[in-house]
Amino acid sequence: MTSQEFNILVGKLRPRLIHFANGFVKGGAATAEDMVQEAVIKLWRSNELQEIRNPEALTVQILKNVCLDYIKLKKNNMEALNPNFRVYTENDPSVALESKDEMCNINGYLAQLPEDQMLAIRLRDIMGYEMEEIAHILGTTEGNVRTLLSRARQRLREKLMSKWKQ
Amino acid sequence: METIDRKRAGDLLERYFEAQTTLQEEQLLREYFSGANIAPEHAVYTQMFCAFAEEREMLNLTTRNFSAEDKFTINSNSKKFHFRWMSIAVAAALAIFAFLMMPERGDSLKLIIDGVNVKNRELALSKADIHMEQLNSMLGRFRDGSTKQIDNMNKMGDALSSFKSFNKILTQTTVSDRLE
Repeated sequence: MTSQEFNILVGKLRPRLIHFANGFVKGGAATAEDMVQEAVIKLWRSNELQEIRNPEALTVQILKNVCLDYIKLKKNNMEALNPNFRVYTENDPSVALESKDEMCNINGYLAQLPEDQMLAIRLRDIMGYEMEEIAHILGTTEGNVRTLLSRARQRLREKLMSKWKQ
Repeated sequence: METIDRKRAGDLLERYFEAQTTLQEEQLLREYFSGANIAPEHAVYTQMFCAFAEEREMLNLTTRNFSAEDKFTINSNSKKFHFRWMSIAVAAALAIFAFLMMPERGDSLKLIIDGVNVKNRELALSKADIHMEQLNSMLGRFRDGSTKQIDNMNKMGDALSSFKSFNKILTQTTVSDRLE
């Protein structure tokens, strides 16, 4: 892939990638753009670029960099990446009241999932990738992806059930 | 659009939560929850499937323009790429074909004597011998001529030797006169 082809493709893919990153980065669109830009630069410098022949493969490679960076950053410094993120506990009534609106939507539930589970469910249920592709993006096995997805969906189910009963 | 009944939806939902469904089955579930015939026991999941469907739709809107335009761009680039290499390949094939099919390709191996192509080896050798003999005779004539000239030069040198002795005497006389 030449630099011209790469630039054209990345330019067209960028909105989709930023949309994806924006789904789990709450620091604003600028943070999502930074993450995507960082991932693109990393891909351009890597040797893997020679093997990429189509836009879908390029998307997967950039998403892989975005997701792995996100997991790494969140493990190292969660607050710097996501300053507005708070883990709400049901034992704290004031916090529960404050976050009531946010908890009403699915994105609120997704935000409470562990990062790998959240990424797995976004890649599968929103991006529509196969298990094998998700395993490649997250750098894990297909079996592990199924486990992550199953746990994430069960958690969402529990949240929905508890809200339904209220 | 395929619709699924209550029982099938229940089965698919259980498999969905175990992460055992395929992408096609998950699409069936999204279609089921976007319809009006949702079983009461499944209504709790409507919000989740509708949210996912909405997000997917937004994502598709972002990428719809890309799919139409860029696949063309990529295809045209790859066609250009193939055309470039194809032209080089055709040129190389033509060159090889011309080399193989040239009837006079052995020209470089011919011996040309007096402007005549000689293919017979013995004839070429005999002609070469004749020319070598001619060359030898020419050299011999040059050698004879050159020895005669050298002899003449020697005779001239002998003739001049008497002048040399006379010149010596004159020089000695001049020096003695100056001393006196």
